[in-house]
Amino acid sequence: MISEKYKDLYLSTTRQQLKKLSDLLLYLEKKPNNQNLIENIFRLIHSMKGAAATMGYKKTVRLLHAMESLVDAVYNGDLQVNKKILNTFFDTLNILKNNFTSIDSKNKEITLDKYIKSLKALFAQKNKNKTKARSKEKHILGSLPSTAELNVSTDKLDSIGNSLDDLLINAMKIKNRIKELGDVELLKTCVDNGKILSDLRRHLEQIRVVKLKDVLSSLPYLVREIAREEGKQVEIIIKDHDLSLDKAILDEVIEILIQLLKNAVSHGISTTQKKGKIIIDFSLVGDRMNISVVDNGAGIDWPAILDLAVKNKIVTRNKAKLMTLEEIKNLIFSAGISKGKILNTTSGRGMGLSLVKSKVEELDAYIKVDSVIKKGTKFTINLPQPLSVFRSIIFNLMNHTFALPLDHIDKLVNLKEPKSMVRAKTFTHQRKKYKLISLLNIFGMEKFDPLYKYVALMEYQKTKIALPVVRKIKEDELIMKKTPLVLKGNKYIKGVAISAQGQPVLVLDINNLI
Amino acid sequence: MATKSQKFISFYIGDQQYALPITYGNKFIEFTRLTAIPQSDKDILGLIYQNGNIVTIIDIKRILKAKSLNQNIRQICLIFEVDDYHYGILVDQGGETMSANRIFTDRQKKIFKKYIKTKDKAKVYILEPADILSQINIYD
Repeated sequence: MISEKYKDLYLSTTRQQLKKLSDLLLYLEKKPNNQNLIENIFRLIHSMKGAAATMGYKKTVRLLHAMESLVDAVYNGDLQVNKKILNTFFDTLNILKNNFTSIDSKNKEITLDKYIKSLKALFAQKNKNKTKARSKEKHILGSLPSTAELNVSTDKLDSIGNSLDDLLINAMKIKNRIKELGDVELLKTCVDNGKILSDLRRHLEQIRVVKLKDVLSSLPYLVREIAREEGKQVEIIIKDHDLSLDKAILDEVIEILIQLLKNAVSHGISTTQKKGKIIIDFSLVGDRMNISVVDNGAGIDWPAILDLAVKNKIVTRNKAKLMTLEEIKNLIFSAGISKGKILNTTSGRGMGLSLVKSKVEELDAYIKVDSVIKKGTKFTINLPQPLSVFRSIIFNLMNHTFALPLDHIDKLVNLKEPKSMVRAKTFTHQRKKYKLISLLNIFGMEKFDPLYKYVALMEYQKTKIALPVVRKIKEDELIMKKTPLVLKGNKYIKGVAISAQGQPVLVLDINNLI
Repeated sequence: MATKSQKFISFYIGDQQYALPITYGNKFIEFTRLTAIPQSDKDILGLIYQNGNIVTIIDIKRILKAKSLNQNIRQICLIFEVDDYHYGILVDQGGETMSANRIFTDRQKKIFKKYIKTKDKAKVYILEPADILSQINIYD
């Protein structure tokens, strides 16, 4: 067997191929006679078989060979794609997934004989009378161009990103110094260099960003499998609106969606329902992403949830009497609350939605639920969009340094004379009234009464707001960095960015300040 | 209690020597200007930027109730990593790396009970990163 050092590479490539295979099989379900599609499937299985043979995984090779033969028979018209064949293919995908998990953790293949037998049994049904003159395998393999894909770990991308950030900060420092010296020629070169570095960083970010549809395509397969297991009919519609997201964030989002989908299929949609439907809709609202998961199932019985919470000692009976609907809705995210009375393999252990909530919070996002009996349930996740390199005003308030992205600011008003705003609720400029936001109140520094010199005017989601600024340090380009845990609980701060001086600056979250 | 050999990076606060288990990313750096965080735990001094990473600086002296011998001493920062997040503690002086086969327990202490002994039998208390973090409310 080939050295262990290739195992990780093999598994990472094969898992990607497996995902692609599941996408293609889902497509085959809709277009069973598409020869080009069948060619693609054959080619993929053939490539996976080759890799397994190279690694010395004999059982995997035998299973993939049986699958390959079946696809070949379909391609040549000896067999017709039907529900039985498709279900066998999907079962084979599942067992392959388990097999790769076993190779990963226990370094050994699992028993695959039962599945090889099923594939062979289907293959034996092929119409032997129907023969074709063409050389099958050669034809299939020769028809498609191959593409090379490279796997790069996000750790390596982060490390390159960090070095690039340092380089960018140094370039900013040099640019500022040259500006002071007044060397126009050198300044032009510096500006050009800065642009190249910013472009490089954006390119690097683009590597991390993936189209939603490329990753979400596995969800219909998952829903199909859970629905099949539970004998339900469920259609899933994904409205991705051609949006993209950072791969690391999307991986977390997928885990959240999987749990919500399991819940929707297992508990939302009933077996008697003829047209179960789940819609996942992504949209951008301001600088945040909204993800809604809507099902047309039975809906959540809130009084029953409250009873369950009392029974499971999550709340006391007295407290339950005083709870508002919003508080009751939040109970569904508590560990130990389970609407499903029967435990099954997919959901019903009462941990699912509490894990969803903790995952959502890890992403600095929030989740809410709305549900109407006999109409269905809607979960909405509101996710902050990560910033990268952005221009911002930087200002001090007491001993804190804040940044307000320029994108948000309509106008920065320079007050004629410094002004106290401790009692003011609004700020009027050119006959327009703005709601005044006090960072001192928000951050618990009410005892101070500084004199403000500027007011930043903004209009955010149809609300006119004014943010007083004591002293503007400057307007500069900032680089967003990974948010430390210490800021995760602070909803008014979006994260930390680095200034040209290499100083961390706290970036305000306008959405929550309002 | 016999254990396998463990490596530590040692440092001083006042005249007491402490040890931090060596992990990836440990280093001493010159202390730079802090960015204060509003509404954070009192044991968190603020944030600094170091080699592409945001480092959360913890007031270890406050946690240990320790004092520097000289208040005007130029402090240095010892960086460590926990779960891909970077943290730093301000210390008075960096020490040598240490290797220990035996870890002792001081039952008189409530936290940071484990210690190792130097050649001249002095106690060097071990500050496990997880124990340091357990002393602060990171989400305050």
